[in-house]
Amino acid sequence: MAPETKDVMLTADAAETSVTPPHRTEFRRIIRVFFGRKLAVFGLVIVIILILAAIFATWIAPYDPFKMHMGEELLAPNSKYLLGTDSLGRDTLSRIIYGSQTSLIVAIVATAFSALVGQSLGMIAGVSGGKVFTVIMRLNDTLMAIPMILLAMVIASILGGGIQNVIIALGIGMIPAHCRLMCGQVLTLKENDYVLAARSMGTNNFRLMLRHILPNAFPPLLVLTTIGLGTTILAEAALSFLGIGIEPPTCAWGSMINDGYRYLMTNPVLAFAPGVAIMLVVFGLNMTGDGLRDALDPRLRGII
Amino acid sequence: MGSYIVRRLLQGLVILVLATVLVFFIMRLLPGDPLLLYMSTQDIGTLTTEQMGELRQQYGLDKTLPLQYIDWIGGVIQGDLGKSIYYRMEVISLVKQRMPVTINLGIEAFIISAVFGIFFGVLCAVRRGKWLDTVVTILANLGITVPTFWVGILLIYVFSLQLGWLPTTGYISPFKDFGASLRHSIMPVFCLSLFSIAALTRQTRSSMLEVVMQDYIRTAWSKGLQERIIILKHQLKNALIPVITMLGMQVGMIFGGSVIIETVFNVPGMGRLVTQSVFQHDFQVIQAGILIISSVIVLSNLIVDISYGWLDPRIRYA
Repeated sequence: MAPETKDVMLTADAAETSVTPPHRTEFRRIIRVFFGRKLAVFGLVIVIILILAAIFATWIAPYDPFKMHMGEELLAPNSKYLLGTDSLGRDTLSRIIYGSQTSLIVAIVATAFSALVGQSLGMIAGVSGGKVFTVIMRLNDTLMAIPMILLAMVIASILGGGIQNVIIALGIGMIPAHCRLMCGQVLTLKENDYVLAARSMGTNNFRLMLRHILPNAFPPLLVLTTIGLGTTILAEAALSFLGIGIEPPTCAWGSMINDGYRYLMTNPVLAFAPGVAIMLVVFGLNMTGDGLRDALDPRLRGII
Repeated sequence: MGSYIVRRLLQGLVILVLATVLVFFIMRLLPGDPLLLYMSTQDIGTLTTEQMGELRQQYGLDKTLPLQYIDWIGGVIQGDLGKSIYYRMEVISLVKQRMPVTINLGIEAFIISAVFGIFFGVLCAVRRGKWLDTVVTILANLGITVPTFWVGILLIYVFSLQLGWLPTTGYISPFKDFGASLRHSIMPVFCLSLFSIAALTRQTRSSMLEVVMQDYIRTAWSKGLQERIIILKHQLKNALIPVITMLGMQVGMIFGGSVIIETVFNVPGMGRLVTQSVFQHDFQVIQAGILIISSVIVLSNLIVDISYGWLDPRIRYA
């Protein structure tokens, strides 16, 4: 194992002979590569703005997103309502700002759920091998044979709309991607000498998974999780657009587009504005993910 | 090779059975009596308990769930996909009406994605760092980002409502009126292929750039081969495996996308049928729809795996 890798144990002996402690330099290198990518930084800034907008929505939003301004329905953008009002006289800008809360909650919880379940299953399948592997991976293939949006639709239609049920539907839909990636990682990492060494020392499977395999499988999984957040936001928007996702009056960008679609002729901004919000956020997440992939790519170690 | 294909087909069959079992049981988790879905509101009031029992027996709903599933899958093997509750007709004839529409749009979208995605990817890799690469890469990054249904609405606004060049919605078979069919399908096909073009461009670009450092590419250059031959035969062919993997995934993406795009453009295809059936809890149609869509996906995965051997003869099928 090369001394540059993260998991090298710095014994007194090694410290004398080898180069500087690798931990710190590796972290610094990652930071440097990531912040050297203009698009990645741009993406991260968008993501941070989204998070801030969601947290401070109450202060940023010019109006209450649920307040119906009587007699001011379907206004075009003007100085009072920057993005106009919808058919019920609600301020579009405020609804978009509050919509960031919905998107963020759904994306974070659904992604966390699918990552936890999917990656655990993938890890168990990869480490155990044999029958366990066959059963888990066949079930995973089954889930993969159904398009994610379709599976989420069926589940959401059974459970009914609402944030909680959309989270469950999308969380289940995203499991296979995490399971498959983790399983692939484990199968590759299993061949390494340090796993063999750990095994020969009598390490049990559980400890092997947590201490030796998980840290090394981490980079690609982090990238998948970041991009998975974007995928989830897109899928949630699609479900809400179809009318089986988040239900009104909760602010959700997808259902706002569906609402605005009806007034496309007269008030196109109602359908356009939430789409721009979705696009910006998913773009930010994807670019952050790409930046992380470059920064964490072990093949680039030592080059940059 | 032959035995490999047979084994994979059998595996695929197992996956399909599991997928239908999954959907069958999820659908039956629905609260309420599925029998009520079969009856009009008038019937519900007037029928006696005995008559309800007879009906239940007639639809096979008195059996246990596993037995109902066996009944259903037995029918499927004989080409009977069950009966739609909402449309009150055989699911198979519904599928025969709707499937050609989705297949037509889907194949167009798939071919367009493959051709343009790989073309743009190669273009970017060859012109790496130039303005063309920058512009196309940014467009590709936006392409995997935008909600496609929103792009559809944007297109309808610009090309139908403002310019009046294209019809907003609907579908016409290319065998009936080719020109009208083309005008109707331009926007839906663009929306269906947008994500795939962008994803394939990104994948082709990055795997082309990975190959460009290899020794055999330098050798090819130093032999004085033509640029075109080096790029297409040496570089692209070796860069194609991850691209083909992604291309295979696009079959599922396009089918999944058709669910939403067909709703936006009001196209009477499988996607729209499945969406409506989800709303109506018309589980016979949903089961059949998922069976068909999953079959296409499983088959395309098999084709992808077989094509690896052609691209890279080192890959053997044991």
